[in-house]
Amino acid sequence: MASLCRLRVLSSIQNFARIQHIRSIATRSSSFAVLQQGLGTSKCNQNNLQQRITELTRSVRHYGSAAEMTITSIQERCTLVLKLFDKVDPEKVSLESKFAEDLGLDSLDAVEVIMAMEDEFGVEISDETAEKLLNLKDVVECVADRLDVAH
Amino acid sequence: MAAAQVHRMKMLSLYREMLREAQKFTGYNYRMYAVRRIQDAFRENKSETNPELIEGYIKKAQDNLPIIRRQATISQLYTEPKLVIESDTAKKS
Repeated sequence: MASLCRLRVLSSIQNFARIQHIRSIATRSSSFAVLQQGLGTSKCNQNNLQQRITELTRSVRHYGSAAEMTITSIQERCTLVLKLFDKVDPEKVSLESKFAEDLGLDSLDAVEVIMAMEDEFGVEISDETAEKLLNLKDVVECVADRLDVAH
Repeated sequence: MAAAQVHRMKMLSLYREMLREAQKFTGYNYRMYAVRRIQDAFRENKSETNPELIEGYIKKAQDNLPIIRRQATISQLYTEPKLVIESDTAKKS
């Protein structure tokens, strides 16, 4: 009785092994088929290959260059930054309005505005230059200089 | 007049430098405290005209700048997760 049991177990193991073997062949052949399909050199497969390459490279991250800047986009962003500044009345903001006289900002506020502009565009403006920037137009010109944008 | 101008320039550059350093704190509470403290302290004494007092304030700022710098660096070594109020909804797509 015990030997019969063992025989059964053995045969089931054999069965299992056979199934596994068949399965592995099946996967091998199917992956081979994909390879043939993808890497075939005949002309009719060229498009297919191209498509496959695109699929394979899709997950790669592409880094773009910085957005194209124009003098108008700089003006818009500068104006927005200034309008969002706490102590500034957004309705008084224009390119010509002076920080000190028209917008009522003191020199400390002006420093903060210039710092906000630096953060916005990722440029650096030195103390001496910042001292000479009295209205938004000056700031825009200064930023455009730093970013190599014609104005 | 010339001395006042020198003081003014020094204060403005100190103000700017201190704010820059204070913004490097990683913890929200420390960062906001440092930024506000600097802004308030400079505003508090902005109309001071006594040169000796101004010298004293400049000295104080110069002493505190390295402290802020050091503490900001230390805070970067031991970061904690961002607070809920810091999460930028605009960046989530």
